[in-house]
Amino acid sequence: MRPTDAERPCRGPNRRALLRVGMLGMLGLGLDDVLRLRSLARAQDGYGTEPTLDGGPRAKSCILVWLSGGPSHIDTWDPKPDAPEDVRGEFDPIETSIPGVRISEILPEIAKVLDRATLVRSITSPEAEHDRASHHMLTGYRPSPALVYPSFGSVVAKVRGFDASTLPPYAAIPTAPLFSSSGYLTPAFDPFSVGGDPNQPGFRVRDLTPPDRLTLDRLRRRREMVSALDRFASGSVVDTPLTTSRDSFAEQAYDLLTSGEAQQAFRIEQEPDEVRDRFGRTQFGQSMLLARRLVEAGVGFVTVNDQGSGPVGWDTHVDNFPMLRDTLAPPIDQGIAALIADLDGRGLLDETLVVVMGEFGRTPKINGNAGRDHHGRASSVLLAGGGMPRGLVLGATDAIGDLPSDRPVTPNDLAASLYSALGINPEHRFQTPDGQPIRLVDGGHAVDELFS
Amino acid sequence: MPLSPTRNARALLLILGLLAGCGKSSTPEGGVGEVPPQGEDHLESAQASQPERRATPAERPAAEVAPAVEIEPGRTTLLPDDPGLQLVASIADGRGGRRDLTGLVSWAAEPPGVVAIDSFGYVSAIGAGVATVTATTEEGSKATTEVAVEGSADRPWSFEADIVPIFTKFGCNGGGCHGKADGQNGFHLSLFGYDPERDYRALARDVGARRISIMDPDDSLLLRKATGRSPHGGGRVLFADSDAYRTLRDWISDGAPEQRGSSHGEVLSVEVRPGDVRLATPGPQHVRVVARFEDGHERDVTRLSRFDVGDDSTASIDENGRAELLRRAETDLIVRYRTAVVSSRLATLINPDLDFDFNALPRRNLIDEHLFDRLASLRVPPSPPADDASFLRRVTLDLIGQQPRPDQIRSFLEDEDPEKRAKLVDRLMDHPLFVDFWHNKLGDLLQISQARFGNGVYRYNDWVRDQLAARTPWDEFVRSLLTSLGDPNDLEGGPVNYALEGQDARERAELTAQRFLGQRFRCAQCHDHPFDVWTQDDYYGLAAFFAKVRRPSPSPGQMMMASDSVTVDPDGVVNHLRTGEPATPVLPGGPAVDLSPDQDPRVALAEWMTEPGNPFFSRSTANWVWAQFFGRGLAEPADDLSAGNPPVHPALLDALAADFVAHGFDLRHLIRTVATSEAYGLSSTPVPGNERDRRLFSHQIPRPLTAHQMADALAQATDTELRFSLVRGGGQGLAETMKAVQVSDPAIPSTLLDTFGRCPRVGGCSPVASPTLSLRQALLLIGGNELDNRIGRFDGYLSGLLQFDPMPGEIVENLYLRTLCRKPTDEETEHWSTVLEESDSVRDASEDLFWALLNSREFAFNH
Repeated sequence: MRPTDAERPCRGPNRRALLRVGMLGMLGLGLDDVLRLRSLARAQDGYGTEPTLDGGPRAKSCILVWLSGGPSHIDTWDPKPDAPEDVRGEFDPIETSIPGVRISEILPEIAKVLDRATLVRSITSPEAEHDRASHHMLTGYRPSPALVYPSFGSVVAKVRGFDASTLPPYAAIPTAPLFSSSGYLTPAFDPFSVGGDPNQPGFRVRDLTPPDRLTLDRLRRRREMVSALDRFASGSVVDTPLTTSRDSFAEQAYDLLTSGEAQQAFRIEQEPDEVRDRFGRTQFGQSMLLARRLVEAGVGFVTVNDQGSGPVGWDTHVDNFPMLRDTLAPPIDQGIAALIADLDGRGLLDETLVVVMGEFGRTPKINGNAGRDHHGRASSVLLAGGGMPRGLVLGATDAIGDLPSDRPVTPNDLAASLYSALGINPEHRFQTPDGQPIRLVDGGHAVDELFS
Repeated sequence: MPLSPTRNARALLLILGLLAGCGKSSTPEGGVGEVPPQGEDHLESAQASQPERRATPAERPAAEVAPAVEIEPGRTTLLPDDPGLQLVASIADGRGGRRDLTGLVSWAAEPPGVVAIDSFGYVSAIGAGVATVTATTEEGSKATTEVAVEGSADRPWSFEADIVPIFTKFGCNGGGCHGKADGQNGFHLSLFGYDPERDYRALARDVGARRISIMDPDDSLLLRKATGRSPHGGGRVLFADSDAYRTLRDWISDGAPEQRGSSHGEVLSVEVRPGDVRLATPGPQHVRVVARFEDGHERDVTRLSRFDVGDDSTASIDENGRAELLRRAETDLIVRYRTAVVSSRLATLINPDLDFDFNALPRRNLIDEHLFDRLASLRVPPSPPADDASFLRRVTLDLIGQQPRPDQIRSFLEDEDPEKRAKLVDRLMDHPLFVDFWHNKLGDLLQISQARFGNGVYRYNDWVRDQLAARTPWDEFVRSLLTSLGDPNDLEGGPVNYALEGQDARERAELTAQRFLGQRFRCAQCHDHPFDVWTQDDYYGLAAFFAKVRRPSPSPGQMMMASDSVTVDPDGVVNHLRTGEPATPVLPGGPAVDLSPDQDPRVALAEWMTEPGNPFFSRSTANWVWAQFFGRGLAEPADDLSAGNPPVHPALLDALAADFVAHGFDLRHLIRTVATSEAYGLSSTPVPGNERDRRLFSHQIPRPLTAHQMADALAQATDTELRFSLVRGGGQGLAETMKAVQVSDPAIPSTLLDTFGRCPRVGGCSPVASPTLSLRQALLLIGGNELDNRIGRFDGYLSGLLQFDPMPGEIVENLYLRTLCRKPTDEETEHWSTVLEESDSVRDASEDLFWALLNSREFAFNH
């Protein structure tokens, strides 16, 4: 008997049930049993909540731009021209397409399309270490020694499933940042790392294009041979959920390798030169273009991981200003602006959520190496499309950009907002492998202003 | 080690919980083809009930041949402080089993005014006297029992025994509500009521003010919230006409005493009755829960217990203890009463009409005795032994991580020695790669990685490997890990690294308990864990053993330490989350340990853990080893031996653990026992009667090759090498040719190993290296160059073979032996020979077949 609704909030998790959910593979159940269990698991999974919100999702897909290392908010989105010199920095603010709103001069292209986006200037988190802050920003949870939480993309993949297209539901370009994994969900929901640099001539995704000497005909022949072998072995290696799920991964792989449509999605060279130029002939620019192609082809979530030109990325402890001005800002300024304009031009912006963020902001006070250090207490996030208000600036920081002075938004609130925009219920609970029901977001609330 | 009196009872409960459910199942059942006797199984309580059981219905004399309804328990006395009594009515089903009728009969009690009985057979006292309770079936068959009610003029009260269980039953003191570490909305109860004194203070602080109103009990905040009359985050948990509500109100109106009148003392044991039920057919079974107190009093606490089933596709159970078995199967019923967790079995014969001679099964060792007896008792036939080729491949993969070579396959198939399987196991265990492969498994268990241990990883890896090679007994191995002091980078410093793990004493305690004892303490820290027994006090008691470990400063630039060594810090403490005071070392379920300040408390913990009688240590290891050979533990997950997760074959696990202890904690003996058992050697192909079984180990279940097995198998099949750069962090250095199983450190880069899911050893791995299947793997094998290059290489296997201008049949046989490790059947030989003959290019067709074999299901699984 299921617990009544009245006692549910106080009832402990049904740990065994959870294990079973993770272990369907080990149970010898008929299809009916599996379906019944699944629906049961769904009910238990959520403690009565549904994973999706009523009505269709506002955003069908999401492109998350991760500025790895933590961009200085003061030198980008949240300039403080009136602050003392040791805070203000070297850049002047410029006007944007939102009257009265100014951002840093190093983002001139984005300034022109800012009226199609929402800028949140009041993100605040206690975390100011790269890994911990990444976890907080990308999962909506502060890190715990006990558990890695699933990232947004993994949750989207789990909720939406694999049915949308032959392409994987969650992709990362070129590779996934730390803590953008499936966490306590099964690794089936890890991002598919595209790898490589789409700006290189002859760019190919590893293992996704058959070796040159392997024609599609030959691949088909081999596939038939595998089928024959599996038929011969059907008595000795019997059908189990594990053996059949391996078969289905193989099917997916054959489909990907042989589907013109899926292959096309990765063929960035098919974009007209003019379009490729608009996004910028940089790794980042072309990654944005590739992300747009993937989203168009049905991928639900794409993370573009920008590490600048090297391992430190946006982690500008030293020489903050020339790094930003010469190396870090130009590609993303061009690439993000082009993406927003491109999506908008194709009528896709309203169904594609674009999120630009990093681990944290950077200290108001400029350090002895002309750099800025980690600063979790204040940072900015840019949101565009997916129904986010156009031309909204939400929240503000104090005179030196140290703390939010208006409308503080935690990473948890941000996570709840992103899930809501994607039509996923932030209150939903998934169960961890050892049976704890865990709310998708740790106590955050979707920001009302983004949903009015 | 002596137990202090207060802890004694807890420890006993714990052990009872662990052992519950193993009694009957361990004894061989009656002869083949007969239905085993189950009557005594089913009704095993008080003898006083005999006369009532035989009560014959007066008005149906014609029915004397029909079986009679019986009621459990027999005559019972309800004391003024007893909550009530669950009666269970049942009838013999004519096939040796019993059928539960508790919810189907109509219940009546005479004379009026003594007891009330509801339609589920639950008796509540009304007034002093003796009542006769009658159960009448639809057919008119009757049975009676007597319930005596003692006067209740001045009933005794015990907050601990009368009130706290209500909080536990209704989840109020669970980890999701007021039982979590900081309580809920300012009201904090101890988790599951393990600390009644404090709970009483939490309530009594407000006596007369808010929470409890003695003047107007119904207006007490406690009752208003519980019934949802005041806003309550937990909603309504009690109805005003419920027994629990009445008990709470009566207690409050009696002045809400902590203790009044005589006490029954501690709870000594909790039992589920009937225990280990074997039903004739799937259907309902009401269970009762009986707590036995120190003064000998047995109290029915059914309605104060919480219930769960081990597998809810098999059975369900409601909050009053009415279980229902949904199909022919066996499942566990898990019962919590206060802080105790016990389990019981509910089962039917799975194939009642099975004709199978279990006695004829070969029994090689204790595993087979226990397993086949269990299968016989449930009537589930084991699959026959796997054929020689499958067994050879399986055991070679499981012992040394490799596929057998074609010459080994041929000679094993030709060998006519009846002992050849056992001899093979011995040979493989003497193989150098045995140490490498099991070193890898231990590395996963201990999470040995640069990410966790920095440069200590070298010494740590070397040390673990050396211990395996030197056959160090497991108890000694674990004691060294737990107690070593010194410099972790020193030549002798390998085991010292164990102390470097985890952020603090608490995390080290959690890891130790989970790894070596199969106990999960983490949940006691903060989370809800309704069917485990560990409390926050246990948690901090265990953490305190690790509090005096002083570790070298993690990074330069911080405060300089006197040395780079792990030392004992006499002042090291871990503060109890609740009290804020330093916790003292307390053994799990055992006594506090008195130690002088400069002693390393870990020594005492290690001694306790590795004592032969420790209830967790050997079982946990036995379960881990079992899981390595079957893909899952006797208790699963394999690192969870908590009371709420009973093993599927408890007696087998106990026997395996006892044998491990008796052989001086010799890991190899344990491994050999499992690997040479008939049970391990069973085929993975089901037979009629065990097709649906995934629980009882009646056949093997195909397991995907692990990352290391897969990498080595690909390289070996194609006669190509694997090369690894041993310079971590991608630095310059020559790649070395090695077996994948020799690559234990996950920092050594390998796309192949990563893609096939080696444990990265940063945040815990599953106890069995069971690779998660993924699209990436499929893409690597199907679309990647990895496989194609290895197959097509001019110096690879196929090129060499084709130089000899072989016949198609020879090509097919050789490719089969290298990949699937068996000879092709005639049908397969014919099929593929034709394919090769008809192809334009034998080379291309051979490459394709080779590729297809490496992409086949049979190759991907250890079956």
